[in-house]
Amino acid sequence: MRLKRCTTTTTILQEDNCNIDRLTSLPLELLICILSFLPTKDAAVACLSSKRMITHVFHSLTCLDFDDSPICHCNTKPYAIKRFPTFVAFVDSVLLSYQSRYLTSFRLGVGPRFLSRYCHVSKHQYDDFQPMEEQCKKGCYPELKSMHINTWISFPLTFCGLMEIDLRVHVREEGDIQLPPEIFTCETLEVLKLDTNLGLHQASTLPSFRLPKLKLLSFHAAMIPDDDLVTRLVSSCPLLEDLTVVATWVHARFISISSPSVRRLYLEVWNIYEENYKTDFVLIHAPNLEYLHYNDNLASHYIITKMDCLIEANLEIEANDLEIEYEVSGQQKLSLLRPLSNVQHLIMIDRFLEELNHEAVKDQLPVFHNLKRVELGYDEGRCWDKILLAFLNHSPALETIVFPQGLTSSPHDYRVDEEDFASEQQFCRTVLANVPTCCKDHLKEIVVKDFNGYEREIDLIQFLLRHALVLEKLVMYPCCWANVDRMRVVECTLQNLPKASVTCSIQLVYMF
Amino acid sequence: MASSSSSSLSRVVVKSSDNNLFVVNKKVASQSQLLKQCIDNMEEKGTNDVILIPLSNVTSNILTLVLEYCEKHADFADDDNNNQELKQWDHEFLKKFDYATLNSLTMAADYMVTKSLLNLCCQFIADSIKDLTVQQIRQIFDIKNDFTPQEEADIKNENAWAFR
Repeated sequence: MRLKRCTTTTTILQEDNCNIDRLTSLPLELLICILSFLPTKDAAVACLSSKRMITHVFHSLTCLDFDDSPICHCNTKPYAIKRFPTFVAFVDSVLLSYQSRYLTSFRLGVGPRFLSRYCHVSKHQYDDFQPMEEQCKKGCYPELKSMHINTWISFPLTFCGLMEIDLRVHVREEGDIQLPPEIFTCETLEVLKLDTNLGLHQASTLPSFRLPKLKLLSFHAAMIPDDDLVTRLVSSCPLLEDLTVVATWVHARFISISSPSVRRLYLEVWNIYEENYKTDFVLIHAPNLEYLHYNDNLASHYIITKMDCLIEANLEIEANDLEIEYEVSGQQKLSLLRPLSNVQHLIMIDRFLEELNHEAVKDQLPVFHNLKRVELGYDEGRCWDKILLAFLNHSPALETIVFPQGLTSSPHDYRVDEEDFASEQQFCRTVLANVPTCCKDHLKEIVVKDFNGYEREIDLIQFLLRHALVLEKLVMYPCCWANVDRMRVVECTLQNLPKASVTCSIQLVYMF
Repeated sequence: MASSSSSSLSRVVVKSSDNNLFVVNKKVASQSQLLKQCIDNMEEKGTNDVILIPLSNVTSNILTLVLEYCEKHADFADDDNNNQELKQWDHEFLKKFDYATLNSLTMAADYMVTKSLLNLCCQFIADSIKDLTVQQIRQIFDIKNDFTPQEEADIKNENAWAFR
């Protein structure tokens, strides 16, 4: 809600001085409107120019936006920590003297983002990740009293007409201070963004949530105490369109998200790493979804409603449990893939495809009738033969294949056993009797990133060139440590490979 | 949107404060809630005359700009996909004006209830003053410093976070 159209023509003090380019005659309502677009600290500089501006504009801003950056509270690399008390004093004084009846948006940022401490996890560099996690557990967060946090966060909740809350609050004593549960019953909210390590126990014991107008919910949480919280939260938002949940659960046994209105879902489910807990069920009922990003440690069961309007899906699974048999985990991943078969753009990176390269996959993969672009990731120790052919055969309309993590990372991948390797080589030399439909009519572009020019890669490319009848473009991006002279030789080899589509151009693009 | 019942007109005439007449397509005029309200009221009465809307607060220079904006946005009204192009256009549109023009344009957008133009102007002005000093702000907004030196020092001290 914006302010009402201005009817008075109050003007700021004027002087006769026509030569200077000025913003003089704006009514106070419009000045408030303009300065409400600025972070509160910048609005302060503008408003502290006169007593009149302080009383009539600064205390009436309709949007409050506080952020403690560029302060970095990290123990090892601190920055400007001495200024933190001035930030706290500033927030306190602005809230204390605030007079407006309309507050539409409240943003508060204290401490680092949640993602900055977990970003290593998805790259499976646990060695880097562990010590950082330990360091950041306490020392790297700001020291704030619960009284401050409570006053600050509860402040906007008393205003009717509040449309947006955006909180990034990470404190030193994780979980001791509770997130005020009233946030989840703020009925006027349209946008709610939470990025916090505050405790959620109080919130999760709330008998009911009410967010009838909420369209966007973004929830980054360091510790979710029980399975139910997210499920109940989502079901209390009938108009929700955009949902992001990136969180660590104490133990996420049963994750259930049901929302017929949601169109974009970004979901990362993590169990606390140390405990090695597993998720039993993931249930997603979002039949109108257009964009899906999903990331977890491989749940035992996926129960997902078919998504008919799906445009893009991005899947990343990091199986925690090394004991699990390939056949079993492969089936689990297939049960995640099947309901997504209407997707137009499918991305599977890191180890998602690991178990899928077995004989049975060719019969079990769904047919992706609408799939135009597929991105197949790579992880050491996996062969390409079965998975590549399965996707070609099951994607009749495929136009583009991308290998975002390359085709292989070393000339001889010792994690691949001899037999599998021989079978991939054999596959690369075959001439298929039945050329996949997409290769006959649609496949126009192949992109290989992190290209090394190894024999294994050239073999695979040769296979693709031999069968892609209408290919227009093959683009390779040599990896950053590639030797340019050697790449020229490789390029020459590639140009001379036999290809089914004579007009296809072959390019090496150097990004460094 | 253009509800094309037989009695409804496709164009309206808008009169600026300096008495210039502008013939405006109804779909373009509807970008302004004020004009839209006038049109709806007249249509409810079932008039077949040409609708004339006088705007006593907007000069023809500024009205031309508001209508240029409305025309562009009416073109894109049914098309969600070209958001980026429209944003780019918006930015180029405002970039060429001085503060005096932005001032009038903001007030006209407010008066004509063209919310997206009002927000655009406010955001643009806000961005343009973001990194200025108090002195520069006083000049641009023509604000008299009514603090004593002591008061000013205290204010800066209390708000040290903002002044760094």
